[in-house]
Formats: sequence, structure tokens, C-alpha cells
Amino acid sequence: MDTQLTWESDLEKARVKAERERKFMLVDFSRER
Amino acid sequence: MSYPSPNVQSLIAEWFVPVRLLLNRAEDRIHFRHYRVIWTPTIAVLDRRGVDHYQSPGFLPPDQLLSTLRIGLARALTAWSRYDDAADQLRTVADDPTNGLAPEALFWLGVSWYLKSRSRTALMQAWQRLRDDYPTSVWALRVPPGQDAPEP
Repeated sequence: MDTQLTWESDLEKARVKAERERKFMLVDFSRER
Repeated sequence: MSYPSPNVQSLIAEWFVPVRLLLNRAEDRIHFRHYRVIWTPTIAVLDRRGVDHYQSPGFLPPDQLLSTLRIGLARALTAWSRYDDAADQLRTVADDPTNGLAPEALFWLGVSWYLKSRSRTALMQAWQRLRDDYPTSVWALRVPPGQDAPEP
């Protein structure tokens, strides 16, 4: 259902992206079903 | 967790880089320990240094999830001294009297206004509204006793 969002799976890569885009990170701590 | 609501997706896209970490994935477990996450799902708002500012455990319906994200975002914005942006997010939640998260939003709205202005009057504008409109809320109880409404 997450049609518009691309979820990162690597926290460090996400951090670099957040730095570049001047955004925060939303981390979904989850588990595979 | 699924994020089917367009409003939720829009807020995430505007303000966040979304990350999904899985307990089942061995390399992710260090992050569960680091951020002290003991339940799935939990969502956390982190800044770009990796500092966590807000966590919310469990599932939420879309409307409550949206409000929760706004409060979490506002907490991070406040920590980064972006008080006006934080207040914008908090007001959206606080101004809806049917929103169960309005008391929490009002509490942090007062904090945000105070940190911006160092004005007790600004703080109490939000906190008096919190006490008047939601007197039984645990967030109203967090306002120290003896705090009076500001002078008109």
C-alpha cells in the first residue's frame, strides 16, 4: 500500500540522505511476517 | 506497519526519509538495541545525526498515526530550534477538539512557544487552554500546580 514512499533499509544511507535533503528520519522498527 | 493514508504518506514524503528496520534481519538488531526498541511495530523520529526524539509503539489508525507523526515531528523540530514549524504541526492537532492527541499537542505547543519567546504568557496561553478544555487529561496534570493564567 506504500505506493508513494520508498523505504530505506540501511540506516546510515538514510542518514546521509536525510543530511542531504535536510529532513528527519522516520524509522519503522518492524518485523517480517 | 502499513501507511495507506494519502495524508500520512504526504507528511512523511515532505518531512522524512522513511526507513524500515526488521527484527528478523540480523544486521538490523543492533539498531533495536541502540534505540531501546522492545516492541514491534515501533516508529521513531530521528534527526539527521541519528538522535531519536520520539517513539510510538504499536499500531494506530490513520488519523491517529498522522497526529502522532505531527507530534513526533514537532518534538524534533523543537529540539532543532525550529519553533514556528513545530507550532504549525502542533496547532493542526491541538485545534481539533475531537482529536484524542490534542492535549499532548497543547502541552508541547506551550513548550515550543516558551522556548521561542522565553515568555511565560505564551506558555500559559497553551497550558491554560489545556487545563480548561481537557482537565482530566494526564497532560493537564503535567502543568505544575500554582501556574496561573496570564494577565489579559
